[in-house]
Amino acid sequence: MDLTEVIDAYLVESEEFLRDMEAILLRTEKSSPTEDDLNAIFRAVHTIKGTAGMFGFDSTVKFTHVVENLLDRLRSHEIPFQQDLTEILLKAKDHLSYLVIEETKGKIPDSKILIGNSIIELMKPFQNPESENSLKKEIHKDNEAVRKSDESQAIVETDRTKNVNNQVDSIPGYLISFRPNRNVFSQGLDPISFIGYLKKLGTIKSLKTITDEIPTNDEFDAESCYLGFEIHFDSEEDINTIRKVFNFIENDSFLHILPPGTPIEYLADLSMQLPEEEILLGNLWKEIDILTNSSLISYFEELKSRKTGIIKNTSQSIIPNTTQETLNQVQENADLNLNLKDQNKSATIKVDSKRIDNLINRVGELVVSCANMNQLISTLEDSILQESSMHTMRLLNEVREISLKLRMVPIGDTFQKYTRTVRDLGKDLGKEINLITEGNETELDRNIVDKLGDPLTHLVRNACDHGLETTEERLRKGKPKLGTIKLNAFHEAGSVAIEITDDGNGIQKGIIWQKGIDKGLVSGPIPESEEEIFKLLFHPGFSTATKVTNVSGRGVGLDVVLKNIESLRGTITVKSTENQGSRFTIRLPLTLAIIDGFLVEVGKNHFIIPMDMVLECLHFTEENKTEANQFFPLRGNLIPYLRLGDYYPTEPSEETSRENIVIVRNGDKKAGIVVERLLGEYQTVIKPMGSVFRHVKGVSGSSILGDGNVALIIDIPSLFERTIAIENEKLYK
Amino acid sequence: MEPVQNLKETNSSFEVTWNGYLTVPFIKEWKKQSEIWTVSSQGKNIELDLNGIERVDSAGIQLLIFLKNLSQKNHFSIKLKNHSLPILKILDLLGLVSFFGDRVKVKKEHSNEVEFRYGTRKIN
Repeated sequence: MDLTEVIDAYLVESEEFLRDMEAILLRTEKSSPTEDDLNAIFRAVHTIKGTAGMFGFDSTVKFTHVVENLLDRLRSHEIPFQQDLTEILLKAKDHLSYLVIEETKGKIPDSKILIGNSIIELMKPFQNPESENSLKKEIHKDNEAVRKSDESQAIVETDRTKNVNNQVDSIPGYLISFRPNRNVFSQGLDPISFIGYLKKLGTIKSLKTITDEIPTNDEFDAESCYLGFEIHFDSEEDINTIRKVFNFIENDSFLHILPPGTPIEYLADLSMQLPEEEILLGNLWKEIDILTNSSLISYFEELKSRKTGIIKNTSQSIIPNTTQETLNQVQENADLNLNLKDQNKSATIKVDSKRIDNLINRVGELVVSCANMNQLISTLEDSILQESSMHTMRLLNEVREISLKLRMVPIGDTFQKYTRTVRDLGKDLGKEINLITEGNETELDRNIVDKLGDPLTHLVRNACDHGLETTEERLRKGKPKLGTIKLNAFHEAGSVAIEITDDGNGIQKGIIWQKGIDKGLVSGPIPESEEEIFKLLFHPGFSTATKVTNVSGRGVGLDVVLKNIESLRGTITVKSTENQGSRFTIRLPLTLAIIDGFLVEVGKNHFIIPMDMVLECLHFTEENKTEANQFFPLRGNLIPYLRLGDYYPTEPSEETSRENIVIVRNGDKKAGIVVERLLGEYQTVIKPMGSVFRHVKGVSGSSILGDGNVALIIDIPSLFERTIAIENEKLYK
Repeated sequence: MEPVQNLKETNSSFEVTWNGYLTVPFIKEWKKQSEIWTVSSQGKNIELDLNGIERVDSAGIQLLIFLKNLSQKNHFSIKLKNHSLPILKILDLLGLVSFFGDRVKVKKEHSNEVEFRYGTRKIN
C-alpha cells in the first residue's frame, strides 16, 4: 500500500480537526463551551491520536494523550471549564499542529519536545484533582524543572492511574509487537538478541512467536526473516527506555509498543496494522495475558464498532463469544456516532484534486462538442432532433455546474484562520481588535483559496499593526475603544472580491507621496487621483513604518502581496480616508476551466470576452470616433475604449461591416472594446496558455471553437492595465 | 570444516545430527544438500540430534520451525532430541517448547539458565 497517500489523508484530516478545535476555543473566550463544543474538541484530539498511533508517530501520540485526558475530565465534568484553559489548550493546539506536520517528515527535535513538555506541565494542575491546590506553585515552576520533567513518565503515570480506575479496559503490562523486516539477517541483525536484551529491563511475562509467514516449501530462504513476536513485558522503565532496546533494528521493522494502562481500543488500532487477522491477534493477546476474558470481549466489541463505523454491512459473525445484546448495543453506539457526525457535517469524501480537474476538463470538452452538434442540428429542419439536442444541452449544463462546484470551497474556512491571527496580534500589540467576517459562504476555486492565504495574512497583519491605532489614541480621537477589522467576500461581475477593511488611521497620502519623492520614485505635486498615490505602497521596499514591530515593518511589503495576487491574475485596489480607515480590495477571476463567454470577431480572428463582464453592446458609428481622445459617449458619460484590432492585428475580413462596441466592466470601472462582429453568447473551455506565453498580458487562455477555429479569451483587467501603460508611455514621450 | 550434517538412514527414519553454528551459513549449506524433500515424499520420520549445536540465532530457530511446519503439512514426524543449552535458551525465550512438543532434558548445571515460565502449556 502506498503510505504517502494515507499520510496525506491524515494531514488533511488533522488540519481540519485542529482548525475546528481552534474555532471552538476562540469562541470559549467569549462564552463558556457547550457540551457539544467539548465533545467536538475531544473527538478531534482523540481521532488525531488514534491515527497518529497507527503510523507510530509517538511524539504526537504522547502529547495528544495528555491533552485527551484533560479534555476527557472536562467533558465528564470532573473539572469545571476555566478561562485559563483556553490559553493552554490553544497552545496545545498549536504544538499539535506542529507535531502532526513535522512528525510525518521525521523525528521531532528535543527543543520542540521540551516545548510540548512545558505545555503538559501547564495542564498538570487540571489533570489530577489532588494537585489542584498546588496550581500556582506548578505554574510558576521554573524552567529547569520543566526541562527535567520527563513527559513520557507523565504518560506512564497517568496511564497507571487510569489502569487502577479502569482495570477491565486497559492492558496490564507493556505490549510489544515486533515484526522484523525480511532483510534484517543480511544486515547482520539477530532479532532474538534484541528480545533477549529486554530481560535486563524487566520480565518477559509471556511471549508468542508468530510463525505464519514461514513458507512450507522450497521458497524458504535462509536469509529472510519470517518471524514475528508479541511480547507481554513487565517493567518499571518508561516506554522510551524500552524502545531504545530496539534502536538498531527499529527503522527497518514494524515495532509498536503500548505502555501499561493503554485502553483496549488501541489494540483494535494496532490489530488493523498487523498482518495477522484481528481475531487471531485477540486470542493471541489473551494467550500472553495481555487480555483477560472480559477485556477480550471489549476488544472484539471495539473491533466490531470500528467495522460497523466503516462498513455497516460487515457480517456479525466475525465476533465470537459475544451475546447478541452487547452486539446490538455496540451497533446502536456506532449508529449514534454516525448520526452525530451527520449532524455536524454532511458526509464528505476526499478525492484527489487531479481527478476533479480531469473531470472538469472532460466535461468542458463535452460542452464544446455538444455546442458544435447543436449548431449542426439547428441547420437541419428536424424539430424532434432539435428538441432532443436542446434537452441534452440543458442536462449537460447542469452537469457542468455540478462538476464546477466540486472544486469550489467556501472562503469562510480561510477567514476563520484570521480570528486567531487577530486575537494574537491584538495581544502582542496591546490593541483591542474585533474581527468581523462577512460572505463566508462565498465560494472560490480551491486552487485560488490555497494561494490566497499568504497575501490575506499580510493584509490582515498590516491592518492590525499599521491600520489600527492604539487604544489610547482611539479614545483620544473619540473613536470606540475596540478597533474593527472586517473581512468580506462577495461575487462581483464574474470575479470574486475580497475586502479587508479597518476603521483605523487611514493612509496619509501626504506622507506616502513625500516618501515616494524621497525615494525618487515620483516627482512633482500630489496628484488628484488617490490611485497613483496608493500605487506607491506596492513598490518593493516601500515602507512608511517608523518603527519595526514584531508584526511588521521589516521591509517585506505589499509588493509581495501584489505579486501573489497578480500570479492569480487578480488585482488589488486601495481606498482610504484619513482617520476613518482603509479598505484593500482584492479581485480575483474565477479562473475555472469553463466560462460563459461572448464571442466576437475582428477581421478573421475570434475572441471571447467573459460574459460576466459584458454590460451591453452598441453600434460604434463614425461620429463617435475621435482620434485624439478615445472616449465613447454613453448616456452622458464618456467611456474610454480601445480597438481590439489595434492590439491583436488580424487579417482583414473580406466583407467590411460596421463596427460594434462592447461595454465591459471591471470592478467599478467601465470601458469599451471595439470589435467588428458580435457572435453572441458562447460557452467555452479555457485551455490555459502554455508556459511560453505565461507573461503575455491581455489573454487568459484560448479555446477551440465548434468549427475548429481558435479563439483567444480576453483577460479584461490586464488588457486595460496594458492599455494604460501604453498610453502613459505615449504621454511621457 | 566439520560436516554440518550427519545422516543415518534406517528403514523407517532418518537420524540426523547437526553440529556447530545453526545460523545463516549453515542453513544455506543445509538447503543445498538437504534430503528433506525426498524424506518428506517418502513419509519417513526424522530424528534431529541437536547436542552439537553451539550457537543458534533467529535464522536457525526459524529453520527448526520451518521443518516442524513442513512435517505437519507432509505427514511425517520430526523429533528434536538432545537439545544443547543454546537451543534450550532460545526455545525458552521464545516460548516454543510446546510448539515442538518434544521431551526436553535440562542438565542440572544448566537448570539456572532456563526458566520455562511460559510456552510450555500446549494450547490447541
